Amino acid sequence: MKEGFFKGLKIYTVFLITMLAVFCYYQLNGKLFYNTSDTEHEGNNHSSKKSHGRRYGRSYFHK
Amino acid sequence: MTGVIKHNASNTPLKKVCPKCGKDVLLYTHYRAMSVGCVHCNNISFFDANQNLHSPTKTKLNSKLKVLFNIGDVFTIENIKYRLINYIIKRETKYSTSWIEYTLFHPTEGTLVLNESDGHFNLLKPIDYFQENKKTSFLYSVDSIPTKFSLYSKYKYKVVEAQGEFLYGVLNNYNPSCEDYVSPPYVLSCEQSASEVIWFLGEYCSHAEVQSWLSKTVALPSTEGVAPNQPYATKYNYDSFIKLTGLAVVFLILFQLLYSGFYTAHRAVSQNRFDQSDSLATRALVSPNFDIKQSGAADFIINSFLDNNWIEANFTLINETTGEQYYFGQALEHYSGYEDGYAWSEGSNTETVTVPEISAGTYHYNIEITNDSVKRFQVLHVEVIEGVSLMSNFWITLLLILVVPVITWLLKSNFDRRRWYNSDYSPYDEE
Repeated sequence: MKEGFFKGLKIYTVFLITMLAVFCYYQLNGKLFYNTSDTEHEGNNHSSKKSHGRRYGRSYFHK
Repeated sequence: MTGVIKHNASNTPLKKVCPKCGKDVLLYTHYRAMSVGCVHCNNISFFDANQNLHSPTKTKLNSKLKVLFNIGDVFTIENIKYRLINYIIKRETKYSTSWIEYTLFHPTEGTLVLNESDGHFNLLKPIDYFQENKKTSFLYSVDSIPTKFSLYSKYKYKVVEAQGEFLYGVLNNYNPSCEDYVSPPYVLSCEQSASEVIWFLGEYCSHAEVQSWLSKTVALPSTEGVAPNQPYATKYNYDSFIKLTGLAVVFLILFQLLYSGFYTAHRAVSQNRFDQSDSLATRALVSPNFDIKQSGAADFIINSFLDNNWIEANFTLINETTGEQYYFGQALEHYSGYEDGYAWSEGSNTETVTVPEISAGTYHYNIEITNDSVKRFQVLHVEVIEGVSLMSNFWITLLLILVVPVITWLLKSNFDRRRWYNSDYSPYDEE
Protein backbone atom coordinates (compact mmCIF):
# COMPACT_ATOMS: atom_id res chain seq x y z
CA MET A 1 0.00 0.00 0.00
CA LYS A 2 1.30 3.39 -0.93
CA GLU A 3 2.38 5.92 1.64
CA GLY A 4 -0.46 7.89 3.13
CA PHE A 5 -3.02 5.10 2.72
CA PHE A 6 -4.12 5.48 6.32
CA LYS A 7 -3.88 9.29 6.33
CA GLY A 8 -6.63 10.55 8.63
CA LEU A 9 -8.15 7.07 8.83
CA LYS A 10 -6.53 5.68 11.96
CA ILE A 11 -9.65 6.08 14.09
CA TYR A 12 -11.82 4.63 11.33
CA THR A 13 -9.43 1.68 10.96
CA VAL A 14 -9.57 1.04 14.71
CA PHE A 15 -13.39 1.27 14.52
CA LEU A 16 -13.54 -1.32 11.72
CA ILE A 17 -11.11 -3.71 13.41
CA THR A 18 -13.04 -3.39 16.70
CA MET A 19 -16.35 -4.02 14.92
CA LEU A 20 -15.02 -7.11 13.19
CA ALA A 21 -13.33 -8.41 16.33
CA VAL A 22 -16.54 -8.02 18.35
CA PHE A 23 -18.51 -9.65 15.54
CA CYS A 24 -16.14 -12.66 15.44
CA TYR A 25 -16.21 -12.96 19.24
CA TYR A 26 -20.03 -12.89 19.32
CA GLN A 27 -20.34 -15.42 16.49
CA LEU A 28 -17.85 -17.86 17.95
CA ASN A 29 -19.50 -17.66 21.38
CA GLY A 30 -23.06 -17.83 20.10
CA LYS A 31 -23.97 -14.42 21.54
CA LEU A 32 -26.58 -12.13 20.06
CA PHE A 33 -26.13 -8.39 19.49
CA TYR A 34 -29.86 -7.91 19.82
CA ASN A 35 -31.99 -10.57 21.46
CA THR A 36 -35.55 -10.25 20.17
CA SER A 37 -36.80 -13.16 22.27
CA ASP A 38 -35.90 -11.47 25.55
CA THR A 39 -34.09 -14.59 26.69
CA GLU A 40 -32.86 -14.66 30.24
CA HIS A 41 -30.22 -16.94 31.62
CA GLU A 42 -29.33 -17.85 35.17
CA GLY A 43 -26.99 -20.27 36.82
CA ASN A 44 -27.85 -23.18 39.06
CA ASN A 45 -28.80 -21.21 42.19
CA HIS A 46 -32.43 -22.23 41.66
CA SER A 47 -33.61 -18.78 42.60
CA SER A 48 -37.05 -17.84 41.45
CA LYS A 49 -37.05 -15.63 38.41
CA LYS A 50 -39.65 -13.61 36.64
CA SER A 51 -40.02 -14.15 32.96
CA HIS A 52 -42.75 -12.67 30.80
CA GLY A 53 -44.71 -11.87 33.91
CA ARG A 54 -44.66 -15.41 35.27
CA ARG A 55 -42.78 -16.99 38.13
CA TYR A 56 -40.87 -20.12 37.23
CA GLY A 57 -39.80 -22.60 39.82
CA ARG A 58 -37.59 -25.50 39.04
CA SER A 59 -39.38 -27.66 41.57
CA TYR A 60 -42.65 -27.26 39.73
CA PHE A 61 -41.41 -28.26 36.29
CA HIS A 62 -38.47 -30.47 37.00
CA LYS A 63 -38.93 -34.07 36.22
CA MET B 1 19.45 27.61 -20.59
CA THR B 2 22.44 29.95 -20.87
CA GLY B 3 20.88 32.06 -18.17
CA VAL B 4 21.15 29.21 -15.69
CA ILE B 5 24.85 28.77 -16.34
CA LYS B 6 25.80 32.42 -16.44
CA HIS B 7 23.54 33.63 -13.68
CA ASN B 8 22.85 31.74 -10.53
CA ALA B 9 19.59 33.54 -9.87
CA SER B 10 18.56 31.60 -6.82
CA ASN B 11 20.40 33.63 -4.22
CA THR B 12 21.94 36.68 -5.79
CA PRO B 13 19.43 38.83 -7.61
CA LEU B 14 20.52 41.10 -10.44
CA LYS B 15 20.14 44.78 -9.59
CA LYS B 16 18.73 47.08 -12.27
CA VAL B 17 17.51 50.63 -12.07
CA CYS B 18 13.91 51.44 -12.80
CA PRO B 19 13.90 53.88 -15.75
CA LYS B 20 10.94 55.70 -14.24
CA CYS B 21 11.69 56.18 -10.53
CA GLY B 22 15.42 55.46 -10.55
CA LYS B 23 15.19 52.98 -7.68
CA ASP B 24 16.70 49.52 -7.64
CA VAL B 25 14.69 46.57 -8.84
CA LEU B 26 15.88 43.06 -8.05
CA LEU B 27 15.73 40.41 -10.75
CA TYR B 28 15.96 36.82 -9.54
CA THR B 29 15.65 35.53 -13.10
CA HIS B 30 18.38 37.93 -14.27
CA TYR B 31 18.23 38.57 -17.98
CA ARG B 32 15.67 35.91 -18.62
CA ALA B 33 13.10 38.48 -17.55
CA MET B 34 11.45 40.22 -20.49
CA SER B 35 9.43 42.70 -18.51
CA VAL B 36 9.77 44.08 -15.00
CA GLY B 37 7.17 45.66 -12.78
CA CYS B 38 8.76 48.07 -10.32
CA VAL B 39 7.48 47.53 -6.81
CA HIS B 40 8.22 51.18 -5.97
CA CYS B 41 6.39 53.03 -8.74
CA ASN B 42 4.24 50.28 -10.33
CA ASN B 43 5.63 50.93 -13.81
CA ILE B 44 6.35 47.97 -16.05
CA SER B 45 9.49 48.26 -18.16
CA PHE B 46 10.99 46.07 -20.89
CA PHE B 47 14.52 44.93 -21.66
CA ASP B 48 16.02 46.22 -24.90
CA ALA B 49 18.73 44.52 -26.95
CA ASN B 50 21.39 46.06 -24.72
CA GLN B 51 19.78 44.59 -21.59
CA ASN B 52 18.61 47.96 -20.35
CA LEU B 53 15.13 48.62 -19.08
CA HIS B 54 13.04 51.08 -21.08
CA SER B 55 9.51 52.20 -21.97
CA PRO B 56 7.98 52.24 -18.48
CA THR B 57 4.20 51.88 -18.52
CA LYS B 58 2.14 52.81 -15.49
CA THR B 59 -0.12 50.07 -14.13
CA LYS B 60 -2.96 50.53 -11.70
CA LEU B 61 -3.23 48.72 -8.40
CA ASN B 62 -6.99 48.65 -8.52
CA SER B 63 -7.90 45.12 -7.59
CA LYS B 64 -9.86 44.46 -4.44
CA LEU B 65 -8.03 41.17 -4.01
CA LYS B 66 -5.49 41.05 -1.23
CA VAL B 67 -1.98 40.09 -2.28
CA LEU B 68 -0.82 37.58 0.32
CA PHE B 69 2.88 37.23 -0.40
CA ASN B 70 5.74 39.60 -1.18
CA ILE B 71 8.00 39.55 -4.20
CA GLY B 72 11.14 37.67 -3.13
CA ASP B 73 9.42 35.41 -0.58
CA VAL B 74 10.85 31.90 -0.49
CA PHE B 75 8.62 28.83 -0.79
CA THR B 76 10.23 25.52 0.17
CA ILE B 77 8.37 22.87 -1.80
CA GLU B 78 9.63 19.29 -1.56
CA ASN B 79 12.94 20.61 -0.19
CA ILE B 80 13.46 22.92 -3.16
CA LYS B 81 13.53 26.65 -2.48
CA TYR B 82 11.48 28.64 -4.96
CA ARG B 83 11.51 32.44 -5.08
CA LEU B 84 8.30 34.36 -5.67
CA ILE B 85 9.13 36.55 -8.66
CA ASN B 86 5.77 38.06 -9.60
CA TYR B 87 2.07 38.08 -9.13
CA ILE B 88 -0.69 38.74 -11.61
CA ILE B 89 -4.31 39.46 -10.87
CA LYS B 90 -6.53 38.20 -13.69
CA ARG B 91 -10.18 38.81 -14.31
CA GLU B 92 -12.43 36.57 -16.35
CA THR B 93 -14.11 38.54 -19.13
CA LYS B 94 -17.51 36.83 -18.98
CA TYR B 95 -18.30 36.49 -15.27
CA SER B 96 -15.78 39.06 -13.93
CA THR B 97 -14.40 36.69 -11.35
CA SER B 98 -10.82 37.46 -10.32
CA TRP B 99 -7.93 35.42 -9.04
CA ILE B 100 -4.23 35.85 -8.25
CA GLU B 101 -1.40 33.91 -9.77
CA TYR B 102 1.98 33.90 -8.01
CA THR B 103 4.96 32.72 -10.04
CA LEU B 104 7.57 30.74 -8.11
CA PHE B 105 10.99 30.45 -9.71
CA HIS B 106 13.97 28.16 -9.32
CA PRO B 107 16.93 28.49 -11.70
CA THR B 108 17.11 24.79 -12.53
CA GLU B 109 13.69 23.44 -11.55
CA GLY B 110 11.85 26.10 -13.56
CA THR B 111 8.65 27.86 -12.59
CA LEU B 112 5.55 26.90 -10.67
CA VAL B 113 2.36 28.89 -10.43
CA LEU B 114 0.53 29.20 -7.13
CA ASN B 115 -3.04 30.15 -7.89
CA GLU B 116 -5.38 31.61 -5.27
CA SER B 117 -9.09 32.00 -5.91
CA ASP B 118 -11.72 32.51 -3.20
CA GLY B 119 -9.23 31.29 -0.64
CA HIS B 120 -8.55 28.04 -2.55
CA PHE B 121 -4.98 27.30 -3.62
CA ASN B 122 -3.65 25.33 -6.56
CA LEU B 123 -0.05 24.65 -7.42
CA LEU B 124 0.41 24.38 -11.19
CA LYS B 125 3.38 23.44 -13.32
CA PRO B 126 3.75 23.59 -17.09
CA ILE B 127 3.61 20.17 -18.75
CA ASP B 128 4.54 18.73 -22.13
CA TYR B 129 1.11 18.00 -23.45
CA PHE B 130 -0.83 18.77 -26.55
CA GLN B 131 -4.32 17.88 -27.59
CA GLU B 132 -5.35 18.89 -31.06
CA ASN B 133 -9.07 18.28 -30.96
CA LYS B 134 -10.09 18.90 -27.41
CA LYS B 135 -12.81 16.70 -25.97
CA THR B 136 -15.07 17.40 -23.05
CA SER B 137 -13.47 14.53 -21.16
CA PHE B 138 -10.29 12.53 -21.71
CA LEU B 139 -7.69 10.47 -19.89
CA TYR B 140 -4.38 11.92 -18.78
CA SER B 141 -1.88 10.00 -16.67
CA VAL B 142 -1.00 11.61 -13.37
CA ASP B 143 1.85 9.77 -11.59
CA SER B 144 1.37 6.99 -14.16
CA ILE B 145 -2.28 6.60 -13.18
CA PRO B 146 -4.75 7.24 -16.04
CA THR B 147 -7.11 9.88 -14.73
CA LYS B 148 -10.29 11.09 -16.35
CA PHE B 149 -10.51 14.85 -16.69
CA SER B 150 -13.76 16.63 -17.49
CA LEU B 151 -14.24 20.08 -18.97
CA TYR B 152 -15.18 22.56 -16.27
CA SER B 153 -14.92 25.96 -17.94
CA LYS B 154 -13.91 27.89 -21.03
CA TYR B 155 -12.99 31.53 -20.57
CA LYS B 156 -10.80 34.48 -21.50
CA TYR B 157 -9.17 36.85 -19.06
CA LYS B 158 -7.64 40.30 -18.75
CA VAL B 159 -4.62 41.19 -16.62
CA VAL B 160 -5.88 43.58 -13.96
CA GLU B 161 -2.72 44.05 -11.96
CA ALA B 162 0.86 42.76 -12.14
CA GLN B 163 4.09 43.24 -10.21
CA GLY B 164 7.52 41.62 -10.29
CA GLU B 165 9.61 40.21 -13.11
CA PHE B 166 8.13 38.28 -16.00
CA LEU B 167 9.61 35.85 -18.49
CA TYR B 168 7.29 37.28 -21.13
CA GLY B 169 5.73 40.61 -22.01
CA VAL B 170 3.07 40.68 -19.36
CA LEU B 171 1.28 43.64 -20.88
CA ASN B 172 1.14 42.09 -24.35
CA ASN B 173 -2.42 41.52 -25.26
CA TYR B 174 -2.25 37.75 -25.79
CA ASN B 175 -5.90 37.38 -25.03
CA PRO B 176 -5.61 33.59 -24.79
CA SER B 177 -8.53 31.19 -24.81
CA CYS B 178 -8.44 29.11 -21.65
CA GLU B 179 -9.99 25.81 -20.75
CA ASP B 180 -9.95 24.05 -17.40
CA TYR B 181 -10.44 20.32 -17.04
CA VAL B 182 -10.85 18.86 -13.57
CA SER B 183 -10.34 15.56 -11.82
CA PRO B 184 -10.08 16.36 -8.10
CA PRO B 185 -7.57 17.10 -6.73
CA TYR B 186 -6.08 17.81 -10.17
CA VAL B 187 -6.79 20.42 -12.81
CA LEU B 188 -5.49 20.57 -16.37
CA SER B 189 -5.46 24.11 -17.64
CA CYS B 190 -4.87 25.11 -21.23
CA GLU B 191 -4.01 28.59 -22.47
CA GLN B 192 -4.13 28.94 -26.23
CA SER B 193 -3.11 32.13 -28.03
CA ALA B 194 -2.47 32.73 -31.72
CA SER B 195 1.17 31.73 -31.35
CA GLU B 196 1.29 29.05 -28.64
CA VAL B 197 -0.55 26.52 -26.52
CA ILE B 198 0.50 26.01 -22.91
CA TRP B 199 -0.82 23.28 -20.65
CA PHE B 200 -0.53 23.28 -16.88
CA LEU B 201 -1.17 20.46 -14.44
CA GLY B 202 -2.34 21.70 -11.07
CA GLU B 203 -3.13 20.11 -7.75
CA TYR B 204 -5.33 21.46 -4.99
CA CYS B 205 -3.41 22.56 -1.88
CA SER B 206 -4.77 22.89 1.62
CA HIS B 207 -3.97 25.97 3.70
CA ALA B 208 -1.78 23.85 5.95
CA GLU B 209 0.21 22.73 2.93
CA VAL B 210 0.71 26.29 1.67
CA GLN B 211 1.66 27.44 5.15
CA SER B 212 4.21 24.62 5.44
CA TRP B 213 6.07 25.99 2.42
CA LEU B 214 6.66 29.34 4.10
CA SER B 215 9.10 30.26 6.83
CA LYS B 216 6.72 32.85 8.30
CA THR B 217 3.07 32.66 9.21
CA VAL B 218 0.74 34.25 6.67
CA ALA B 219 -2.94 34.94 7.30
CA LEU B 220 -4.52 32.98 4.46
CA PRO B 221 -8.06 33.94 3.46
CA SER B 222 -10.91 31.65 4.42
CA THR B 223 -12.34 29.61 1.58
CA GLU B 224 -15.61 30.37 -0.17
CA GLY B 225 -17.68 27.70 -1.87
CA VAL B 226 -16.16 24.59 -3.44
CA ALA B 227 -13.23 24.91 -5.84
CA PRO B 228 -13.49 23.14 -9.23
CA ASN B 229 -10.84 20.57 -8.31
CA GLN B 230 -11.22 20.60 -4.54
CA PRO B 231 -11.19 17.02 -3.26
CA TYR B 232 -14.04 16.05 -0.97
CA ALA B 233 -11.67 15.17 1.83
CA THR B 234 -8.34 16.83 2.39
CA LYS B 235 -7.81 15.51 5.91
CA TYR B 236 -8.07 11.89 4.88
CA ASN B 237 -7.66 9.76 1.79
CA TYR B 238 -11.15 9.11 0.40
CA ASP B 239 -10.00 6.26 -1.87
CA SER B 240 -8.36 4.56 1.11
CA PHE B 241 -11.55 5.07 3.09
CA ILE B 242 -13.56 3.23 0.42
CA LYS B 243 -10.93 0.46 0.11
CA LEU B 244 -10.82 -0.03 3.89
CA THR B 245 -14.60 -0.30 4.03
CA GLY B 246 -14.55 -2.76 1.12
CA LEU B 247 -11.91 -4.87 2.88
CA ALA B 248 -13.99 -4.91 6.07
CA VAL B 249 -17.12 -5.98 4.15
CA VAL B 250 -15.21 -8.72 2.28
CA PHE B 251 -13.77 -10.00 5.59
CA LEU B 252 -17.22 -9.95 7.16
CA ILE B 253 -18.81 -11.92 4.31
CA LEU B 254 -15.93 -14.42 4.13
CA PHE B 255 -16.02 -15.00 7.89
CA GLN B 256 -19.77 -15.52 7.84
CA LEU B 257 -19.53 -17.94 4.90
CA LEU B 258 -16.80 -19.98 6.61
CA TYR B 259 -18.58 -19.77 9.97
CA SER B 260 -21.88 -20.96 8.49
CA GLY B 261 -20.31 -23.55 6.21
CA PHE B 262 -17.69 -25.12 8.45
CA TYR B 263 -18.05 -24.02 12.07
CA THR B 264 -21.72 -24.21 12.97
CA ALA B 265 -23.37 -27.64 13.07
CA HIS B 266 -26.92 -26.50 12.27
CA ARG B 267 -28.33 -29.86 13.41
CA ALA B 268 -31.78 -30.77 14.74
CA VAL B 269 -31.32 -32.20 18.24
CA SER B 270 -34.89 -32.42 19.43
CA GLN B 271 -38.31 -32.66 17.82
CA ASN B 272 -41.40 -32.92 20.01
CA ARG B 273 -45.12 -32.79 19.55
CA PHE B 274 -47.53 -31.75 22.30
CA ASP B 275 -51.29 -32.13 22.17
CA GLN B 276 -54.06 -30.39 24.02
CA SER B 277 -56.74 -32.56 22.56
CA ASP B 278 -57.62 -34.28 25.83
CA SER B 279 -58.10 -31.46 28.23
CA LEU B 280 -57.98 -27.68 28.21
CA ALA B 281 -56.23 -27.95 31.52
CA THR B 282 -53.09 -29.37 29.86
CA ARG B 283 -50.97 -26.27 29.91
CA ALA B 284 -47.70 -27.50 31.37
CA LEU B 285 -45.57 -29.57 29.03
CA VAL B 286 -42.22 -31.25 29.60
CA SER B 287 -39.86 -32.43 26.87
CA PRO B 288 -37.68 -35.53 26.89
CA ASN B 289 -33.95 -35.05 27.41
CA PHE B 290 -31.80 -34.16 24.44
CA ASP B 291 -28.11 -33.36 23.92
CA ILE B 292 -26.67 -30.12 22.70
CA LYS B 293 -23.14 -30.92 21.53
CA GLN B 294 -22.05 -27.53 20.24
CA SER B 295 -21.96 -24.60 22.61
CA GLY B 296 -23.45 -21.48 21.13
CA ALA B 297 -26.87 -20.44 19.97
CA ALA B 298 -29.83 -22.69 19.27
CA ASP B 299 -33.07 -22.08 17.41
CA PHE B 300 -36.37 -23.19 18.87
CA ILE B 301 -38.82 -23.50 15.98
CA ILE B 302 -42.36 -23.46 17.30
CA ASN B 303 -45.19 -24.56 15.06
CA SER B 304 -48.90 -25.04 15.53
CA PHE B 305 -52.06 -25.25 13.42
CA LEU B 306 -54.06 -22.37 14.80
CA ASP B 307 -57.30 -21.39 13.21
CA ASN B 308 -58.43 -18.00 14.48
CA ASN B 309 -56.68 -18.80 17.67
CA TRP B 310 -53.59 -17.86 19.69
CA ILE B 311 -51.23 -19.30 22.25
CA GLU B 312 -48.27 -18.04 24.21
CA ALA B 313 -45.56 -20.53 25.09
CA ASN B 314 -43.10 -19.70 27.86
CA PHE B 315 -40.06 -21.93 27.95
CA THR B 316 -37.62 -22.89 30.65
CA LEU B 317 -34.62 -24.70 29.19
CA ILE B 318 -32.76 -26.59 31.89
CA ASN B 319 -29.29 -28.11 31.82
CA GLU B 320 -29.58 -31.52 33.44
CA THR B 321 -26.03 -31.46 34.75
CA THR B 322 -25.41 -27.90 35.87
CA GLY B 323 -28.92 -26.71 36.56
CA GLU B 324 -28.45 -23.66 34.34
CA GLN B 325 -31.76 -22.28 33.19
CA TYR B 326 -32.78 -20.24 30.18
CA TYR B 327 -36.09 -18.42 30.06
CA PHE B 328 -37.78 -17.29 26.89
CA GLY B 329 -41.21 -17.13 25.37
CA GLN B 330 -43.02 -16.80 22.08
CA ALA B 331 -46.60 -16.07 21.07
CA LEU B 332 -48.27 -17.63 18.06
CA GLU B 333 -51.46 -16.36 16.49
CA HIS B 334 -53.20 -16.93 13.23
CA TYR B 335 -56.44 -15.37 12.06
CA SER B 336 -58.06 -15.55 8.66
CA GLY B 337 -61.37 -14.75 7.06
CA TYR B 338 -63.27 -13.60 4.02
CA GLU B 339 -64.44 -10.03 3.84
CA ASP B 340 -65.82 -7.85 1.03
CA GLY B 341 -64.92 -10.47 -1.53
CA TYR B 342 -61.34 -10.81 -0.36
CA ALA B 343 -59.70 -13.53 1.71
CA TRP B 344 -57.38 -12.25 4.44
CA SER B 345 -55.09 -13.70 7.03
CA GLU B 346 -52.70 -12.40 9.64
CA GLY B 347 -50.19 -13.85 12.04
CA SER B 348 -48.23 -17.03 11.58
CA ASN B 349 -48.32 -20.63 12.72
CA THR B 350 -44.53 -20.81 12.87
CA GLU B 351 -42.07 -18.71 14.85
CA THR B 352 -38.39 -19.12 15.66
CA VAL B 353 -36.71 -18.13 18.89
CA THR B 354 -32.94 -17.93 18.94
CA VAL B 355 -31.51 -18.70 22.35
CA PRO B 356 -27.90 -17.52 22.70
CA GLU B 357 -24.96 -18.77 24.77
CA ILE B 358 -26.11 -22.29 25.48
CA SER B 359 -23.29 -24.45 26.73
CA ALA B 360 -23.01 -28.04 25.53
CA GLY B 361 -24.81 -30.60 27.66
CA THR B 362 -27.98 -32.57 28.23
CA TYR B 363 -31.17 -30.52 28.44
CA HIS B 364 -34.89 -30.67 28.68
CA TYR B 365 -37.36 -27.86 28.52
CA ASN B 366 -40.62 -27.06 30.21
CA ILE B 367 -43.35 -25.11 28.49
CA GLU B 368 -46.08 -23.18 30.22
CA ILE B 369 -48.90 -22.43 27.82
CA THR B 370 -51.30 -19.53 27.98
CA ASN B 371 -54.17 -19.75 25.53
CA ASP B 372 -57.86 -19.18 24.99
CA SER B 373 -59.83 -20.50 27.93
CA VAL B 374 -62.39 -22.32 25.74
CA LYS B 375 -60.50 -23.01 22.53
CA ARG B 376 -57.87 -25.72 22.31
CA PHE B 377 -54.71 -25.23 20.33
CA GLN B 378 -54.75 -28.95 19.46
CA VAL B 379 -51.07 -29.45 18.68
CA LEU B 380 -47.72 -27.77 19.23
CA HIS B 381 -44.49 -28.81 17.51
CA VAL B 382 -41.14 -27.71 18.90
CA GLU B 383 -37.91 -28.38 17.04
CA VAL B 384 -34.51 -27.49 18.49
CA ILE B 385 -31.64 -26.71 16.09
CA GLU B 386 -28.16 -26.43 17.60
CA GLY B 387 -25.23 -24.53 16.07
CA VAL B 388 -27.18 -21.84 14.26
CA SER B 389 -25.21 -19.22 12.37
CA LEU B 390 -26.69 -16.04 13.90
CA MET B 391 -27.38 -14.13 10.69
CA SER B 392 -28.82 -11.24 12.71
CA ASN B 393 -25.32 -10.48 14.04
CA PHE B 394 -24.03 -10.44 10.46
CA TRP B 395 -26.71 -8.01 9.24
CA ILE B 396 -26.28 -5.69 12.23
CA THR B 397 -22.48 -5.59 11.75
CA LEU B 398 -22.86 -4.99 8.02
CA LEU B 399 -25.30 -2.18 8.72
CA LEU B 400 -22.95 -0.56 11.25
CA ILE B 401 -20.00 -0.84 8.87
CA LEU B 402 -21.98 0.71 6.02
CA VAL B 403 -23.51 3.57 8.01
CA VAL B 404 -20.40 5.77 7.85
CA PRO B 405 -19.72 5.21 4.10
CA VAL B 406 -23.36 5.82 3.19
CA ILE B 407 -23.44 9.09 5.13
CA THR B 408 -20.09 10.04 3.60
CA TRP B 409 -21.35 9.21 0.10
CA LEU B 410 -24.41 11.42 0.59
CA LEU B 411 -22.22 14.29 1.80
CA LYS B 412 -19.79 13.76 -1.09
CA SER B 413 -22.63 13.78 -3.64
CA ASN B 414 -23.81 17.09 -2.26
CA PHE B 415 -20.24 18.36 -2.32
CA ASP B 416 -19.84 17.36 -6.00
CA ARG B 417 -23.04 19.16 -6.93
CA ARG B 418 -21.71 22.30 -5.26
CA ARG B 419 -18.41 21.84 -7.10
CA TRP B 420 -20.17 21.98 -10.46
CA TYR B 421 -22.50 24.79 -9.47
CA ASN B 422 -20.34 27.43 -11.18
CA SER B 423 -19.68 25.41 -14.32
CA ASP B 424 -21.41 25.74 -17.68
CA TYR B 425 -20.62 22.07 -18.27
CA SER B 426 -22.07 20.53 -15.12
CA PRO B 427 -23.04 16.86 -15.50
CA TYR B 428 -25.87 17.56 -13.07
CA ASP B 429 -27.54 19.95 -15.53
CA GLU B 430 -28.34 16.99 -17.78
CA GLU B 431 -30.41 15.30 -15.10
